[in-house]
Amino acid sequence: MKLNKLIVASLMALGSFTAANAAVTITFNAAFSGGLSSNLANTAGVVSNGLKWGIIVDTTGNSFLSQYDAVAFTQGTNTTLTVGNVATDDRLILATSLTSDSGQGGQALEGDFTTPGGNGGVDGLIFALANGVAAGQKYFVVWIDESTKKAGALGNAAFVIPADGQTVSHDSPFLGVDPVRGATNIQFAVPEPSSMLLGLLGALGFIRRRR
Amino acid sequence: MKPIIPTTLFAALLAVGAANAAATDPVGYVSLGDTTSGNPAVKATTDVMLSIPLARPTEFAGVVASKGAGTITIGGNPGWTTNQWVPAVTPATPYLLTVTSGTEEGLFALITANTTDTATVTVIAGNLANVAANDQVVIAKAWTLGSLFPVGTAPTGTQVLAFDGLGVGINVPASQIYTMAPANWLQTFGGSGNANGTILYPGESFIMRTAGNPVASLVVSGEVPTWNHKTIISKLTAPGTGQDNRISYFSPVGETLGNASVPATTGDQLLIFDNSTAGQNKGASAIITKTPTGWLGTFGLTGDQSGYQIGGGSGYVYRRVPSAPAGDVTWTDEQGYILNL
Repeated sequence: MKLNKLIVASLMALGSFTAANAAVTITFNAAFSGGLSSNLANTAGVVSNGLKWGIIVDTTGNSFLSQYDAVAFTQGTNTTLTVGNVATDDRLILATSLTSDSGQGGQALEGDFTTPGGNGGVDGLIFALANGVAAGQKYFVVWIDESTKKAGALGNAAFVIPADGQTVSHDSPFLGVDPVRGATNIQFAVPEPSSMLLGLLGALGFIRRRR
Repeated sequence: MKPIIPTTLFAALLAVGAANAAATDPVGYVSLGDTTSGNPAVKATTDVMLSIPLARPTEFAGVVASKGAGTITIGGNPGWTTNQWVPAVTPATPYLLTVTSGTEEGLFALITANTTDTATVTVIAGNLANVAANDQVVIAKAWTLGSLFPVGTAPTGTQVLAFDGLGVGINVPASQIYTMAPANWLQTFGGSGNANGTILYPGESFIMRTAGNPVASLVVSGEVPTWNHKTIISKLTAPGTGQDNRISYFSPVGETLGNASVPATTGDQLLIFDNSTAGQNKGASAIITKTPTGWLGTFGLTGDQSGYQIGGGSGYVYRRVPSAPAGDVTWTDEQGYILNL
């Protein structure tokens, strides 16, 4: 009996050591049982497939900003957003997928078996609870028009990071016919022309010196 | 193949349902999910952890003549037609080749092409290097979403949550989601399109998730495996991080942990989930931990759990201890009932 207690204690210690490893899956479509996301649009308001999308996690609950520094929109990455090169509390987690037809050509309907999905939908993403992202934090779905560096943002009371290991569907905001939502809420800076110009001048100088 | 199992013996062995002992292969059926009398197999808005308990009917049995790099040649001129085991149909009808005797008994591999006597394979579990001439093999269709759970088995909107085994660490969420549509399974996360041909391998486990409507019953009919259970348990990172594996024991009936030959390291854990309780994203109802001398109940169960039975179409999480080295270990075991066949 004593031996067992010792074993249990040591195993519990091992268990707590691993508790930092965590991930969650959030989906935004519940075919035939809930809502289907659709009608996410570019800055011009044109519903678009092929847009990069993701979530911005508001790690301290102070909402998101309307402007951030430039970001490399690399799918599958988790990035701290900055303003004036100062880190904010917001993290951008980009999905590996792009906006697409949530109805898959009419194969999927919402839970009412009537409302179709449509273009400009988002399927879901899987990400680690790391780098300050934790269960219980609020997030916004964002979709990005890279031509304007603008993103649309959709918040909802349901958009809360789930607990470690969970697979959840946050489809309820997409029940019924979705309004067209343009990528107009957030402006990401474009790389500064001045820095690009300096680089160009430096290159020209190098070439001239070689001559 | 093993001889016929007398119906009475089979029923006694499996205790899972009536058997058809007319053929040379033992067959039977297994109820999945919540098997409590009077309860639906899956309550509404509920997750159950499931696995494959039976094989599909054998369509070819033969003997290995030789093997190559990713190929197995059958002796005795089997006379296959080219790509007979990779039919060009939609949805895909994948076939598995399983080694049923010899050192590598239980190895199973997906057939990707074949000539008149040689199959090109992708090994799923096992080591092809250990396969030798005169080893016996069988070929059968793989279980797929569409064959295990045909349309109508569960209400439209029911989902299957799958795990690709690439998620690092513990508490790994689903990497693919499939949804039952009116005409077929549809992949709705991690991909898209008709998913009827998605393979469900023995030794793995997955979740069936209901929405507003329950699944009345889930009954799987098939061939009783008369070859070793074999699956892979992975550790994706160096010591310091634990690793969850969605596993199962390929058997229609329970096998005790103490007799299951689990290649366990002290501190490894088996997470057990209660398919009879309602709810989604349920936590483990019990945890059994490997000790230096056996299996100990450390949550929900106490004391020696060497007699705890696994198998029968249930799914589990096998959590590798953080101190384990990175890499795969192969779990092979001869099911106890085979000794009585």
